[in-house]
Amino acid sequence: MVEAPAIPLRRPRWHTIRRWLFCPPVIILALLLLGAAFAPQLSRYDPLTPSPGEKLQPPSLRHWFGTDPYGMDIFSRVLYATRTDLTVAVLSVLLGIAAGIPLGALAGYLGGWVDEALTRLTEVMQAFPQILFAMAVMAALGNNLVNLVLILAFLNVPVYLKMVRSVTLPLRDSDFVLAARCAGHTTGSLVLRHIIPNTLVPVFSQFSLSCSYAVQMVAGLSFIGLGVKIPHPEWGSMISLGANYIVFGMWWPALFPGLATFLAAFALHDLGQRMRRTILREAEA
Amino acid sequence: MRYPWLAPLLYILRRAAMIFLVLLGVCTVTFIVTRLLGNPVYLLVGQQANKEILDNMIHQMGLDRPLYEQYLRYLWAVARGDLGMSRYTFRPVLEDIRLRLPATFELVTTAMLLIVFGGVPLGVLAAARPRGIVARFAQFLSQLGVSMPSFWVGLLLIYFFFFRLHWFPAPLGRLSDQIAAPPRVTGLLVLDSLLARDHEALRSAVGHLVLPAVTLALGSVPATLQITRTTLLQILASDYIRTARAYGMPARTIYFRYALKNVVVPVITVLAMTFGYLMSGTVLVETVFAWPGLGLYAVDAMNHFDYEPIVGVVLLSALFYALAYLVADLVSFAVDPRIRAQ
Amino acid sequence: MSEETLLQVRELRAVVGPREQPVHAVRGVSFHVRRGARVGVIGESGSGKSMTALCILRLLPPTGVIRGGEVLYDGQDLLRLPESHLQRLRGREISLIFQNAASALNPLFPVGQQIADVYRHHVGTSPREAWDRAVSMLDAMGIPDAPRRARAYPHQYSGGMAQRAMIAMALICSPRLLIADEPTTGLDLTIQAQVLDLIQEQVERSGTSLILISHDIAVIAEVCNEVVVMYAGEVVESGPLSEVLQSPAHPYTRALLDCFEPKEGRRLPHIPGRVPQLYEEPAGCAFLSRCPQAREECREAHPSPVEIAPGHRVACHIVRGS
Repeated sequence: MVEAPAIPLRRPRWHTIRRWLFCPPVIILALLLLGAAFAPQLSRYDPLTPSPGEKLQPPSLRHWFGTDPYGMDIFSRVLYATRTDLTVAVLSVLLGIAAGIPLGALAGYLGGWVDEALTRLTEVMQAFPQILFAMAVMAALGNNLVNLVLILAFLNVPVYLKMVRSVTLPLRDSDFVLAARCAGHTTGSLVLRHIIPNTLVPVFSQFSLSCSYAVQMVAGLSFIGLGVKIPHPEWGSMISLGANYIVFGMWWPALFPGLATFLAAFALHDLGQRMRRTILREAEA
Repeated sequence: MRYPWLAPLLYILRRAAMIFLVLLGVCTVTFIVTRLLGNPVYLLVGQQANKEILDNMIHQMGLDRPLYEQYLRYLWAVARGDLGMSRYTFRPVLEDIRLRLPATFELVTTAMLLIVFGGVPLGVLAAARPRGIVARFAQFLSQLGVSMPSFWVGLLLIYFFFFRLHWFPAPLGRLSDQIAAPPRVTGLLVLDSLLARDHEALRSAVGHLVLPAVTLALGSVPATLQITRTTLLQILASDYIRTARAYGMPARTIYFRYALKNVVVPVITVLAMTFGYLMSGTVLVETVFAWPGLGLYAVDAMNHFDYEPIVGVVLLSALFYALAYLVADLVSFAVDPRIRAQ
Repeated sequence: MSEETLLQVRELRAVVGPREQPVHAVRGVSFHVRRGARVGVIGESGSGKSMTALCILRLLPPTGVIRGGEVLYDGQDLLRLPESHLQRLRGREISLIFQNAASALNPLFPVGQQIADVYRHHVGTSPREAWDRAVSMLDAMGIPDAPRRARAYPHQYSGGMAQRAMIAMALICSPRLLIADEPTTGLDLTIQAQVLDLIQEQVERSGTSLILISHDIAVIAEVCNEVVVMYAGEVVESGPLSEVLQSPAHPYTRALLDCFEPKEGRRLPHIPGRVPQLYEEPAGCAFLSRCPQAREECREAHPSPVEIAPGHRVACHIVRGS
């Protein structure tokens, strides 16, 4: 019932863009990505070269973040690790979405036994303790990065399946789908052209949140030795290298990779929250 | 109604049947992963073994039988509690699990108590004063909790509270080496040392328990807190709370009688989910604190390429998760007449 | 204030919504309710009727703020009364019936229990007595098998039944003023008539004064003897029901009545446009954009109410001019 809003409602576009570009999570992510992209230029040390004479050096001007038990430079390794962690996390979430959207759309659109079966399957998957499940699969199928990505993708499917299904169900009986069907569209083209575009908005806001969670999962699983092998720069396995030295007061080998994990997870989560709030506000208006 | 006990009984049976189906699904998935996608023989004898040994193994393990027979045999074994043998402890997996379950149970239960008595009240306070200091603190804590990897937080806690402040003992297991364990009654060291009136053991057990429990709880407090806060806010803005205010009911009655009961169902459901999450999160925390529970058992097994113990722990966790859900269902059933009516 | 006035609302103002951009929902509303009177408040949705009702008992949602005015009840200003004092009046002296009774009842408590709670809190009887009283009240509201139905939960009630239960709760302490906010919205037509009859009957028997809020002039014409017409947070016309119905003066009132009694051979009439949401108070008349007779002065000056017949007040430049 908006009739007389002579009041400025929409600010100019550049304002909105600037607000998003300069919000803390985007800045953090940009810094992390820049660090990963220019890792060779930013660090003087190779992330994989051990230096037996410089084991466990505390942070100094030579080694900004100190060195690890093999004498490898932690700053350099943290930068290189960003590549591994973010790639694995984002890739697995994207794969999960790629599988979840069509499955959810099918479940919501077809209903019946397809829906029933898929819903039950997601329930079963929720009953799995995720980390333990990943361990079991990798113990049986082989401990490598590809399997890690596939498992994480698999674990990401239910969220998107359920989300798309819950958006599709009410759409199914809505007028415009009815109209499209009257216009002679087939089921397949309906799902593709009408239902999936309508589900993209909620999926988009969930994407960032899922990535935040995936970053933590990748680090957690690597921490217990899944996915990457030890010298490969990766935050979780770097933390596990440092874990044994914490009790002796050597905090740097575990602190810095953990900080990077935390910042990445925080930024992705915060960004997702912001997007969700914006979407909610737009929906209300 | 002629049989007032019939409705709850039917409800429990229906929910139990659902849970049974879920567990069956979990077994099926583990079967597919370990027997179909993976090849247990290779894992057992290694890739270099000659053909004769391989065939022998395959026959021994029944892998040459038809698939449905293997599946049924597998289900039957799981139902009997036969989870296979561990290849590095040389004991049945079930036996190992039985020995290590109390440690994990103690840790998870303590974390759960911290969540219930920390997260829920914080959520209530944050809802009551949305702009107050507690609400801000809750917001801050949520932000940190959802993005700090628990195992890293554990390490930080060890650094500060063990290395710097010496408040807690070294993060190695459940008791200090010098202290004799109290006689085993429940397997929960805190409880057992209480029963034995062994103050020294009690102090050591509690001291060892605090940091891992806090670490484990920290990751799950935000979800509980947020659910409590948002549902309470929704309820306080609801028509029926407005009615209570419009009819002059005092604030105490409105909060503790009318609103609280409505919060129970969503919060208990989230707590059940949290329980399942803790069973998984405990793997990382046990690794950090060398806590001799199921999580560490699974990690050790993985390092020995031994998948049967891991599958055993997965099945057990799924069972616990399902039971937690059943409890949540029963509580909802008791509280909400609309569920009873279904 | 004369002896026979029970409630007098004077220059009531309230805003609602976000602090940066609040909507002026109630803008200087004044009217009064005599003892035993049945006052109907009519207007389209968004005209500030419900907000006015909520202001009277200070029950605005968290984003709502009362900006000024007085609500004199028995000579005391409810807007300045301490909260604890007001709490004693709510439900005991002044009762409120809400639009959607089914959601206005707590889903997790038996209906009878909720009614008994109100009685027990205000009268201070034993739980047993309060329960019995609630059951007999439900019975008096025409709920069949009241002792059993009292133990049922809101989801087991139909809409009409829930509204009857709500009326029982409203009347259990014999209040002196009953405010019914769209009590029949969402009910079937036959149930609507029954609920209205029930309200009228109960109010007449106990001598309770009534404020009936509705967007439906038929409902008000059936129950009330006085009427207040609201538009965009203001009272545009008020007076005795028969007087206003027979000689409506404000163009808005006339338009409303046209909608209610379509003349032969005309299409179903409606008032073009919508009630504006006022983020800023207009300088002139709020009805300007939809008024068929708007003139230059309507744009510039805000019309203030004038009495054109005994008790019949109108806020319109055109009426004053003629």
